[in-house]
Formats: sequence, structure tokens, C-alpha cells
Amino acid sequence: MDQSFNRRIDRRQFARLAGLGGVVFASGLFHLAGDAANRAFAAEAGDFMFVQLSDTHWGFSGDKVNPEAKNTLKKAIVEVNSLPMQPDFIVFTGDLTHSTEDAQERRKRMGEFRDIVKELKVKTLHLMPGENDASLDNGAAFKEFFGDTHYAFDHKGIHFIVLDNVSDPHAAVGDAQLAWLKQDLAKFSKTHPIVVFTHRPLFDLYPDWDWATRDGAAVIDALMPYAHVTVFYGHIHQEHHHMTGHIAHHAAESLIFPLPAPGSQPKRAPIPWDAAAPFKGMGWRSVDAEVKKADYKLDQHPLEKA
Amino acid sequence: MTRGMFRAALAALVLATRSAAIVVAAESHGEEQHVSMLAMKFDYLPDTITVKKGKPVVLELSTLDRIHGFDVPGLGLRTDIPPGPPTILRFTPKKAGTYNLHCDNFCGDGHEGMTGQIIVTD
Repeated sequence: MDQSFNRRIDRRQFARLAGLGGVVFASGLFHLAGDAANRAFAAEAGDFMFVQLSDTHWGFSGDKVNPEAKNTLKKAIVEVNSLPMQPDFIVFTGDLTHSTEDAQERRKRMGEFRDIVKELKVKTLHLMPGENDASLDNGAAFKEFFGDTHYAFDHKGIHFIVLDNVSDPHAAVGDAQLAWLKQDLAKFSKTHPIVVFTHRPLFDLYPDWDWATRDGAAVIDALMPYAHVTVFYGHIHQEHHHMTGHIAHHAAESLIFPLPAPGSQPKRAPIPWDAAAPFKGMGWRSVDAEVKKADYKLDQHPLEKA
Repeated sequence: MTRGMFRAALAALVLATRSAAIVVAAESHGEEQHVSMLAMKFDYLPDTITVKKGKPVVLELSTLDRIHGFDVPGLGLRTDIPPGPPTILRFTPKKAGTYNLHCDNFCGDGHEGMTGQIIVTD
């Protein structure tokens, strides 16, 4: 675990303790010493942390790229559970399971995934499909196990929107979901902090490898009037950061195998397992949300050597 | 054996025995150049075609199994390839180069490797 994360957690632990007392504690703090630093601290008490896990591909087998495929997700869960301060929620940005044409096997994998993630201490999970979960049956099995493929929720002053750009095998959000998105956004002021979770990049990251969303530009157009929008996604199995105007897009590493940098080689084939550095290129992310600033501090957590 | 079954068996044989890209040049038909590609999980056959710059191309696309996609971002070309009669794509390449193509209609475990190229020559 990286040290900066520990330092941040220490600070946050203190803030959480303050949160237990809520206003009473903060008021007491001002009473004791009402300086600028303490006012800043009190303002921070509403901040929180969440964790992003992505592309777990439960059911994948292929020793050349991950001989530890049956253990990788479980290993990540142990690491998340060992955080000194647990996140408010955990989001899985798609490809929970690996694709199979066998509908029965698909459901078996989803059931196994559901059972495995029950081991997480944090019980508030937000799930969405990737194309491996949903593109062969338009999301039918995913909905049976996990519910809607697109939805919204609010948490401590931030509006979160989960978009499905995979149930349509053409990798499109589609007109109906786009209309829903616009209707949902219309409820909020243009300065309200908004976070979008989705699987595929909403911008044209690398169209030659199909790293895009067919109608992603329409989604970005809908989001653009809002001043504080951040997108977290998966699909490309590597950390990546990009801006479309003022909108930040952050891709997460995978928990099954890394993929090469966009366009760095002829094919988007998985990077082979490195026996000298097991789990290299795989990991997960924690995000510290500073609500008032609509600012997000990202920390990567490489899977440690077994 | 039906024509479709024959094509499927032939395609499977060719793909099973290949060790490199299968390249086919478009044939000249008067003012046009014609070429065909078969799509199947998870390959195009041939996976590489060559065409000449500045001469209209008639590309005949067929699938042996399910609906596939055909996307060539560098040439601004895309279509679905549904089962049934061939899908005809017409275009005139304006610039020589090698253009990557891929299936953009998720078709299963192996979809990521369903790729090919169009080589445009002077």
C-alpha cells in the first residue's frame, strides 16, 4: 500500500472521528480554537472516500496472462478489507465476469462473483456491467443478479450517475438512456458536483481498438454545461487520465490482466504474466472526495506480490 | 453440403492452417475494384486486403455465424455485417497507407482479437 494513502487515511480517520460528533464536535473545536485551520478541518468533515474496482473478469482462465485468475479478485478484497478506514462505498466499473456464450455458465459466474464480493466489509456496492457481462444478452443476466444497468444515487452532496454503454453490443448508450440522463441532470444546478461511473471511455480514446462509446460525444455534450463533472471508468485495464474540456476522465487498472497502452502495439492483446513481478499492472483505486471543492484525490493500489 | 456449409468448412480449414496474415488484393472490374471478406467468430478471412488509391472499391462482406461489426476508423468506414445476403460497402480510398479494422459489435470471448487491415497502395 502506498504511503501517501496511509497519510491521507490518518488525516481522514481524524476527520471521521470528528464526524461521529457531527456539529457538536465541530462547534467544540471552534470554541477551543477558532482559527482558519480548524475551520478548514471542520469543512472537511463531510468529505469521504470510495473505492473503485474494475474488470475482474470472474471466470477467465489463461495461465499465460494470469495463472492466479481464481485468486486475484479475492486478493483485492483482502486488501480493501484491510484499509485502516473503510470506504463509504465500493464501485465496480464493469466486466465483473468474463464473457461466455453459455447463458447458464454466465449466470454461474455472476452468482460466484456475487458470493465472493459478499466478503467485502463494506456492504454498499454499486455495480454496472461491462461488455463481457452484458453485450451477448443485452444485460438480461446482469439485471437478474444485480438490478438496473443504469441508475443514479446521491451521497454526501455529490450526484452519482451510472451509465450503461455495453448492453447494446454496438457500445452505445442509446437514445432512451440519453433522454433519461438529460432528465436526471436537469434536477441539478450547473454547479452541483457530478460523478459519472461507466465501463467504456465516453470519449474517443483509441478508435482503432474500439476504445470509445459510439454515442459518447452526445453524453459529453449533455454533461458539458455542468461545471464539476468527473468520470471514472474501466475497460482499458490500465490507469489513464484525460480531459474533455473541463471534464476529467479516469480509467482504472484491471483485476485480471493489464492491456497495452493505446496504440503501443498492433493488437490490444493482454500483457503476458511476468513471473518475476506477479500481478504487475493490476490494482485498484481509492478516491478521496472533497465535496465542497468537487475535487477527487486518486490513489492507486497495485496488487502486492503474493 | 450447402454453399454456406462449404464456405464455413473452407474458412475453418484456412484459418486453422494459417501462420500469418492472409492478404488478398482487390480484383479490377472496369472502373472498380472488387474484393470480398468473410466474418466469423473471431476472424476476418482474408484479414488483410489491398486496394489501389483513387479507384472505387466494392467490398462484399458476409458473415458465417452471427452479426459482426466492421469498423475502419482511419477510412471513416463502418457497417454491421448481419447474417443473410452480403453487405456491400462502397468507398474510394484517397490516401495510401495501412488502416486497421476491427469488429465493433461485441461477439464473445475472442472479440478483442477480431481485427484486420486495409492496405491502400499508390
